[in-house]
Amino acid sequence: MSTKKVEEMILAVCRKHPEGVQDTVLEQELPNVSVNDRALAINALLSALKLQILVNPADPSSHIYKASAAADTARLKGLTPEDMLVYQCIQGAGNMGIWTRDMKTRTNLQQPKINKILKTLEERLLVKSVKSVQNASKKVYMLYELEPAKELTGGPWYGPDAFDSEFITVLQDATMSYIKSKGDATLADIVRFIKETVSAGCTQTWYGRHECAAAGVHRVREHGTTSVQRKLVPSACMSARMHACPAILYSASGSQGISKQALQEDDVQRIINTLDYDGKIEGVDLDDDGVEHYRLALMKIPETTAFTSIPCGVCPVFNECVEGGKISPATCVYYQEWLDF
Amino acid sequence: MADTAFGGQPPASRGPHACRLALKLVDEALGPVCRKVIGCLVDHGMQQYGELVRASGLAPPQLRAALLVLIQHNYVNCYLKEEPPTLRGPGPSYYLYEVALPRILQSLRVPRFLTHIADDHGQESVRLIHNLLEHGRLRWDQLLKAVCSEAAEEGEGEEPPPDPEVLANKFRSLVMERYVERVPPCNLPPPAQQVHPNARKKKAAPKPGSEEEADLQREQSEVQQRQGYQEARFQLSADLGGDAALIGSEAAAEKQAGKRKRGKDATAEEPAKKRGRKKAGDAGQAAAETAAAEAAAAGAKSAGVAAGQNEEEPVLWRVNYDEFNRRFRNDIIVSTVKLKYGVDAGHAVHGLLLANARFEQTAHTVETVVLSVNDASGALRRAEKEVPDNIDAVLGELSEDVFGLLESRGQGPGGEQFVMNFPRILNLARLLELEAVVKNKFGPHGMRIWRLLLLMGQLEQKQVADLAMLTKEEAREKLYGMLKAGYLALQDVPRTADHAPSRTFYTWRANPGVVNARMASDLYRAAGNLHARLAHEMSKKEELVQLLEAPSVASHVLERREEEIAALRAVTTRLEASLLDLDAQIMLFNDV
Repeated sequence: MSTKKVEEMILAVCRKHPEGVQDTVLEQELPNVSVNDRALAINALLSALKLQILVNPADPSSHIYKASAAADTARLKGLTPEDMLVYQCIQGAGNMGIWTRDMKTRTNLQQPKINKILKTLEERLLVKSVKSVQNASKKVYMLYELEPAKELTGGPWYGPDAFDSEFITVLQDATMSYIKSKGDATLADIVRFIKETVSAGCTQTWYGRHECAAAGVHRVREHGTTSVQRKLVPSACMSARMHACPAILYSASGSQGISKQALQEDDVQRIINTLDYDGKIEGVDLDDDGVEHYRLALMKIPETTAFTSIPCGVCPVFNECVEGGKISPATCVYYQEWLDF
Repeated sequence: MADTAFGGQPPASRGPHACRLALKLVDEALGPVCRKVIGCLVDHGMQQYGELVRASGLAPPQLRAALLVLIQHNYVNCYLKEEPPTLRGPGPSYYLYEVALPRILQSLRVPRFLTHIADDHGQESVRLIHNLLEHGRLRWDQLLKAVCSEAAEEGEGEEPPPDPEVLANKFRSLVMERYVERVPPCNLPPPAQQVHPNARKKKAAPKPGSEEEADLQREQSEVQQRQGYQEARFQLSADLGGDAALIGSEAAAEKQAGKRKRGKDATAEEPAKKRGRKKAGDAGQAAAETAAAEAAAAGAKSAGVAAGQNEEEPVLWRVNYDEFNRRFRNDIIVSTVKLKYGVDAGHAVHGLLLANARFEQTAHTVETVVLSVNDASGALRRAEKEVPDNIDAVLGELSEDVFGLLESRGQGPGGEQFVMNFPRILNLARLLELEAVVKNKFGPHGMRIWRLLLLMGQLEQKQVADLAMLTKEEAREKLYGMLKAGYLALQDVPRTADHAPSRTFYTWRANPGVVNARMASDLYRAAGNLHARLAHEMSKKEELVQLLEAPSVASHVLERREEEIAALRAVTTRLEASLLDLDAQIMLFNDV
C-alpha cells in the first residue's frame, strides 16, 4: 500500500475522532496497514503539519494524534520543528500568555534562539506580545487571535498601556447623573441603564472631536500615541433623562477596533462603591426585599473648614513649623500670600 | 472626648500645643510674670507655694501678686490639701495651685459667649457677663458697681443709667440658667486621682478602726465637700434674694457629725475586754482610729464651709464656660440631626435637649435622662419653638434607625420614652469635619482612600489601589502622605520571625479615635501659629499700633497714614476672625 494512501486513511480516522486518537485505535481501525507503513505515513503527516502529536490528557504517559485544521496547516507552513515547539508552548498557555523565561525552561532552547523564533512568529501574525498590568516590564506571548485574560489586561479599567482614570471618572459622572435623575436606583437599574445606553451608542475614533447629530459636539479625549477606537456614548444619545457630560461607556483594549468587553455587574458595583467612598451617594435599604438602593448623600461633605481655610490647614510643612525655626509662622510664605490683599 | 486619651496619650487640651497657646494667651492678657507662673505650673503640675517660689525664680511678693491675679481671673485653681493626722496631732495642711488650662484656652471663645448672650438675653446681660469676664470673679455689689460705671462712661449722660433692680433680675436669670456660677471655695480638696478602670483593684471592706477605714472616710468626706459645692453652685446668695436655708450642706454636715458621734459612742460602748485587747495592740491602730474620727469631723466641717459658704460671707461669682459649651454642643447636635434626618427630626431632638437641660450641669454628659415625647414637645412650646405635628412618629423613627442616636425606653405617662446618646452624633459631626479636612489636604482621591479604609478596616496597598480604583502610584503617594500627617496608621504583619520586608504584609488602616486626637492637637497648633502671626504683624507695625492707641493724636497724622492703617486692620481682622472660626472647631474636638 502506498504511503500517500495510508496518510489519507490516517487523516480520515483522525477526523472521525476530533478529540484525538491513540496509536492503538489507529491499529484497530487500520488492520491492513503494517506498523512500518503507519509510522512512515505519520512522520510524513507530522512534517507536513497536517497532524499534531499531543500528550494524552487521560493518560499523560501516552500520546494522541489530532488532525490539524486546513487553515492552520496553511498558516503554519514553513515553520521549523523548533518554531513549532515554541508555537505549541505559547498555544498551551492560552489567553494568560507565557513569559520568555518560562518558554526557555519548557522548550530547553537558548534565549537568543527563542527571541529569533518569536520574531518570526510575530512577523507571520501567529503570536503577539501583551504587557501585563501587574508588571509593566514583563511581556507575555499568546496566540494572535486570542483576547488577553482580564487578569492580564486589568479588565475594563485599563487602556492599551495604562490605567484609565478618565474612563472611570466619566463612568462615575454618568452613574451620578442617573442616580440624580432617578432619585434612587438599585445596582440592577444602573447596570440596565448602562446596557441600554450601549445599544444607543455610536462608534468614534479616539482622536479629535466627536460629532453627533443628536448631541452636537462632544469632548473626546486623547489616549497615548496609538490610534484606538472606542465605543462612545455621548450623554444626549444615552437617554433624554440624562443631563451629564459626555459619557464613554465602553473600554477599548488591543489595537484592532472596538472591544466588545461589556461592563459586568461587579464592575458597575465598583464604580458605585467609589462614589460611596467619595461621599457623593449613600446606600439605603428602602424596601423590605433587602436590595440596596443608592441615592445622593444627604450629608454633604463641607467644601472647606475653619482649619483648612487658613494656610496651616493645608501646609505641607505644618509639622516642621516652629517659632524661631527655619520654618515659622512669622516667616511663613503661605501666610504672606494669604494676607497679601 | 476632652478627658479621654488615645493610646495612653494625654488629651490634646493638655498637650504641648494647647499649653503653648495657653501661655501666649496669658502673656497677652496678663503679662510675662503671669506667663512665667503658668509656665511653671504647666511644667510641674500641681504645686505648693514654696515649690512655685523655687521653680519660678520670682521674688515672693511678685509671685504672690501674680498668683492673686491669676486666681482672680480663674486661670489658676486653688485647693487645700490636708494630710492625715499623726500621733502628734492633726496632719499638716497646705494650699496647692493648679493651672486651669481649659479656662485659659476657652478665653478665645469670649466674643462668641457675648454674641450668644446678646442674642438670647439682651444688652444688660451682655454688660453683666462682659464685666464678669473682664474681672474674672466679683461679688454682686462689685459687679453692679462695675456695670453702672461702665454704662455711665459709655452713655456720658445721654442714656439713663441701668436700673439696679433690672440688672439684679437679669443676673438672677443668668445664674438660674447656669451662665454664672459661684466660684469654688479655695479650701476644696484637690480633685481625686483618676484611675484607669483596668488598674482598679477590688478591695475588701476595711476593718473598723483600721488605717484603711480612716483613708476611706477621708475620701468620702472629700467627695462630700465637692458634692456640697456642686449643690450650692447655682444657688442665689442672700443679697440676690436667694434662700440661705436652701443651702443643703448643713444637712450633710449634720449627717456627717451624726456619724462621727455614733462612731464615738460605739467605741465607748464596746466591751472592756475588747478595749483591753486594743490597748494591748499596736499604737498605730489607735492612731488610725483617731485619724478616721478626725477625718470625718474635718470632712463634715469643711463640707459645711465649702458648700454652705456661710451666707454672712460674700459670694463670688464667675462665668460658667461649661454652660456655653453645652449650648454650643446642642446647636451642633441639632444642626447635624437636621442635616442627616431632616428639619422635623432636628426640631424633635432640640425638644429633647431643651427638656434635658435642667438635668445636666456639664457639656461632657454621655446621654440624656429618660425623656418622653411630652417632655420634648412641652420644652419646645415653653421655648416658643416650632413643634413638629408628628413629633412622636419622628422620635419613634429616630429610635429605630440603625445609627442609634435615640434608644427607646418603653412607654411612660408622657408617651414613648427615649434616651439620647451624645457621643454618637458628636462623632458624626466630627467625622464630617475630618472628611472635609482630608479632602482639602489630600484631594478627593485622598478622601476616597481614607473613607475606604474607615469602612473596610485594614487593607494592603494593592487592595487600596484596587478598591479605590486608582493607579498604584497615586494610591501609594496618598497613603504615605496621610501616614506622614498622622491620618493613617501602617501595621506590619511579618510572616517570619526575622521581619524581612519581603516576607511581611503591610496593612493600612484609619482609626477615627486616633485621627480625632490628632486633629484636636493640630487645631491647637494652628491656633498657636495664627496667634504668633498676629503678634508678628502687630510687632512689625508697633509704631503704628502705638499711634492708634495713643489718647490724643492729630487727625491729619492719621489721615496721612490712612492706607497703612487700613492694611493693618485688614490683616489683623482676617487673623482674628480665623482664630475665632478655628475656636469653634476646637470646641467640637476638645470641649464637648
